[in-house]
Amino acid sequence: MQSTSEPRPSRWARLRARLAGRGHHVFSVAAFLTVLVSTATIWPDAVQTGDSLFHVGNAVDVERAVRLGQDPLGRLPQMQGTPTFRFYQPLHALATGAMTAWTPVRLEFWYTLFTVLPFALSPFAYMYLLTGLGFSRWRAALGAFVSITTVLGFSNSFLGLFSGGIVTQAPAALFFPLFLGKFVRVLRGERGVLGAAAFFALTVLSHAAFAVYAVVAAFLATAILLPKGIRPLAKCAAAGALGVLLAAFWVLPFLAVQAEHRPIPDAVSRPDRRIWFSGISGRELFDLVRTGRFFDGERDVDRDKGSDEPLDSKMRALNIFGLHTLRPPIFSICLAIGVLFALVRIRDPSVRFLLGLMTTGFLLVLGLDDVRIVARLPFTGQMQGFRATYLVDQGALGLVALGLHEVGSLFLAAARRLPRIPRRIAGGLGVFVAVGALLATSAWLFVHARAIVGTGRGPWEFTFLESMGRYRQRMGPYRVRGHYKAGTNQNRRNNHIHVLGFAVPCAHVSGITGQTARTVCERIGTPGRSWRLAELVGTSYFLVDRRYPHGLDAVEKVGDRGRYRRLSNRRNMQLWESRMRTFGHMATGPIVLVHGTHAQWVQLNEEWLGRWSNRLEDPRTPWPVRVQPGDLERGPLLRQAASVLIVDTRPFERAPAGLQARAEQGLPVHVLSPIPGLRAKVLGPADGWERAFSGLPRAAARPEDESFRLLPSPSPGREFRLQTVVKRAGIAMVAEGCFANWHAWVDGKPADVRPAGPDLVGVYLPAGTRRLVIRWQRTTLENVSYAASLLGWMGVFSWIAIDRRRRRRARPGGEGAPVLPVVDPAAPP
Amino acid sequence: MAKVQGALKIAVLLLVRYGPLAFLAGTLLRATLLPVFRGEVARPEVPPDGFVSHDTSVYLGWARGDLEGPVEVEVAADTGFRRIVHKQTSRGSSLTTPPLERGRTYYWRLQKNGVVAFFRTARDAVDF
Repeated sequence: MQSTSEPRPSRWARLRARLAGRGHHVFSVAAFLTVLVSTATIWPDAVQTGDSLFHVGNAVDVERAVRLGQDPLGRLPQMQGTPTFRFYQPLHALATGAMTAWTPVRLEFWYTLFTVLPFALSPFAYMYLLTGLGFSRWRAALGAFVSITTVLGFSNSFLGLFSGGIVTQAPAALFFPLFLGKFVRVLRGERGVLGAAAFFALTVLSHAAFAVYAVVAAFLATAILLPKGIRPLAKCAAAGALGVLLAAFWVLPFLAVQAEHRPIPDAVSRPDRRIWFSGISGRELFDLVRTGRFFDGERDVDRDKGSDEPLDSKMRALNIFGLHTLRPPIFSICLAIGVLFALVRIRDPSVRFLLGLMTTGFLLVLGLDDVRIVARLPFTGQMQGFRATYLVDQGALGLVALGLHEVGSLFLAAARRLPRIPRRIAGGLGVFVAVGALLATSAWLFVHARAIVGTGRGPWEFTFLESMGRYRQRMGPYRVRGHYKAGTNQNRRNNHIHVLGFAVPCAHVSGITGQTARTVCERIGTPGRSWRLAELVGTSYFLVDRRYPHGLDAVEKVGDRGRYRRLSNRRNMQLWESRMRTFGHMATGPIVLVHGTHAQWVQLNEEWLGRWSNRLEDPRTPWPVRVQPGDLERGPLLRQAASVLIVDTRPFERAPAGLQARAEQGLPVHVLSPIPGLRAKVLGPADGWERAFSGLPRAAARPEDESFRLLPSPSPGREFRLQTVVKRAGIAMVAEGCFANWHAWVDGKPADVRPAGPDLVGVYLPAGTRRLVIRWQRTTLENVSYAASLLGWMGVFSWIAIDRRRRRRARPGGEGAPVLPVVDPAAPP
Repeated sequence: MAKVQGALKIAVLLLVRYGPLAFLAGTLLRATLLPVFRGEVARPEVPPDGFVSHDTSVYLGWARGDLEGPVEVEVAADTGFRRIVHKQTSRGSSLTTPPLERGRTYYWRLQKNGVVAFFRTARDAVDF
C-alpha cells in the first residue's frame, strides 16, 4: 500500500497562514511599540514626575501599611482641608505599594511598570472598544494607533500625562476602554456581567473622575445603542451594581469623606463663573475648536517671554500646565473628515455613539456653569471640567479612525478601477503613504518625547520648584537632573502659586533659608498648604535610603539624630526635623469656638493664616477651634473660650436659647447673619471674619509647656502616644488632618477630637502631666464597605472558577464529558 | 389611519434613535454658538476674590471675551479707584503687578467694565 502524504508547507507559508487575517495588528502593535520606544527615555523619571513625587509618597505609605498589616487606605494626608491623592486614585498606589511589599523588587520598578504598561496596552483596549461597537478590524486597529496621539489632559498618552506631571491614573487608560467595550457587548447580549463589573470597578478605582465618565458613557451607550428587550438592560444594571460592590471599599468612604471634607468651595476657586483650571466658556470652546487649538494643542511659542496669545494660554490651562504640542498638528483636519463621514453614516449606531461621546465630553468641559443639564448630573460640581477632555478624545479618536479608513477605502476602490500598471503604482503609493504616516507619527512622538527631556519644558512641578530660586542649583530633596532647566518666568511662578496653593509661606522653606522668625510650619507642624513639602521630604527620605526599618513609623525617629545622617543632605534633615519636632503643641492664645461647615472652616483658616501666621508666638493671637452645637451648651471647651463665631447659623435658628445663655454670661458671640432671639454681634460683609478674632480679652502669657514627647506605639503610623506636662489647661494640637477616624484618649479616658487651628487634630488637655493617645480607627461604614467588597471579589473569583470547571466538563473529552466505549477495530465482532 | 400609524411609528423611531444625539448636539451648539453672537465682555479671572498673596507682585489674569486690541488694567487701593497704584495697558490676558505694599487690600478692573475684583497682600514676607 502506497501512502500519499502531502508535502509539509514551508516555514514562510506557515507564517503567512498564521498571520492571514491579522494584518490589521500592524497598527495596534506599532502603537504598542511606539509608546514603549518613544517613552523609554523618560521611564527613569516617571517616579519624579510632577505630582508623582507625592504619589510615590502614597505608594510608600501603602507599602508600609501592607508590611505592618494596617489599613492601606487609612490615615489620610490632607491639603487645604481635603484628603489628597491616594484617596482620589487608589489603584496605582495600592498596586505599587503592595507589589513592593510582597516582592524584593524596588518601588521605582513597580511604579514605572504600572505607569508605562497600561499606556502601552491602551491601544489594544481601545481597539477592543471599537470592535465591540461594530467597527471592522482595520478601522479599529487604525483607531488604536491614533489613540496614542492623544495629548489632551488625562488621556491615553503617557507623554501627555508625563508632561502634565500626572501619571498615576494610567490604569484608567487601559480599564476605561475595556469596561466600555465589555459594556457595549453586554448591551448587545454577547457577554456576561462579570467582566463588565470587574472592569467598571477597576476604572472607578483608577481615578474618581473616571467613575463619572464610566457612568456617563454607560448611560449614553444604553440610550444610543438601544438594546432589544429587557434582558440586556437588566444585565447592565447588574453589572453596574456588582461593579459598585467591588469598588465599595473605596467608593463609600470616599463619598462619605467628600460629603464633609469638600475642598475650597467652587465660589472661591471659580470666580465669576469663568473658570480657571476647571473649564471654559462656550465662546472660548468655540474659538479653541475653530482655530484647531483644542485638538492640535496650543501653539508652541516662547512662554517665558509671554508672547503667547490668550487662546493659547487658555488651551494650556485646559490642557494642564506645561503640556506641549505633542500631537501631530493634523488631528483637527482628520477629525473634520471623520465627522463628515460620520454624518453620512449617521444611521450606524456605533457612529452615533462616538459622536455622542464626543459631544458629551464637550458639555462636561463647558461645565455646569454653562450647560444646565450638566449641573443636574451628580458629582459634576465636584469634578474639574478640563478632565472631561478625555471623553472628548475617546469619541474623537474613533471618528478620526473612521475618516481615515473611509478615505483609504475610497482610494482603494478608485485604484481597483484603474488598468493594471497604474493600479500597481497607486497601490504602491497607498502603501507608501500609510507606512509613511505611521512612521512619521511615531517619529513625531519620539522626537517630542526627547524634547521633553532635552529642552527642559519638563513637568511643571520642577518648573515650580526651580522658580523658587534658592532651589535652582541644588534641588535638595527633589533630585532634579540637569536637563530640567525651566525658566523662572514670574507669571508662570504665580500661576503655580495659584494652582498649587503655595501662597501661604511654608516655614519649612523659610526655616531652611536661615530666616529666624518662627512661622506657620515651624510652629504648628504641617498645616494644609505646607503638607506637600513635608511629604516630599519623607518621599525623598524613603527613596534615597530604602533600608528604613519598616516596623517603625518615621515619626518615632524624633530625637534619634543618628538616623538622619543617611538623608541626602543637611537641608533634608532640617526639613524632616522641623516636621517631627512640631508634631504636637498647645494652643497659646485665646480660643475662639467656631461653628460652620467644613468648607467655611477651611476658608476661615485661610483667612486666619493670612492674618496671624507671623504672630503665632504672641499670646494675644486667637486660635480657632471648630465645635459642634452641643459644645456650646456644656463641656470643657466653653471654659477655655474667649469668644464664639457662628458661621453656619442653621442649627441655632430654631433654638438659640443655649447660645443666648452663653452670651448673657458675658461670652462674646459673633454671627454672620442675625439669628432671631439671639443678641449677638452681626458681622457685615465688610467686616470679614477677622473681626470675630479682634477685640478679644488680652490673654495672659501662657507658661511654657513641656514639649510633647512621642512614646513607642504598638501600631506606628496609626496610633500616636504623646506625653507632656500641661501647666495650664488648653487645647493640644497634633499635626494630622482632622478626619472623623481620629479618636483620642487622655490618661486612658476617651476625649473629644475637634479640628483646631488649620484643621489639625485638637484635644482638650487639663493641667498636669498628661498622656494623650490619638488613634486612627476605621468607621462603621468603612468596615461594612470593606466586607462587601471582599465578599464581592470572592464571589467573582468563585464564579469564574465554577464557570471554568463547568466549561471544562462540557468540552468533548473533558473531565466530566460522557465516556464512550472504545472499540478496538482489530477485535473480533 | 394606516398612514397616521406609519407616520407615528417613524416619528417615534426617529426620536428614539436620534433623539439623544440631537439633544446633546443642540445643547452643545446652544452653549457654544449663542455666546459667539451675544458677545462676552472681558472680566477678571485670577486671582480669585479675596486671595491673599504672599508675593508682593501679584499675577492678574482675565478672560478677554470680545475685547480686541489692548486692554487697560487698573489696580487701586480703594473700591472707587481714586487711589490708583498701578495702571498698565496689555495686549494679552495677564500681567504681573510691580511690588505692592504688604498687608493691604487691592482692587483691580479692566477698562472700567464694572467688574471689580480684589485681592490682598499678606503682611509677612516670602522668601523665594
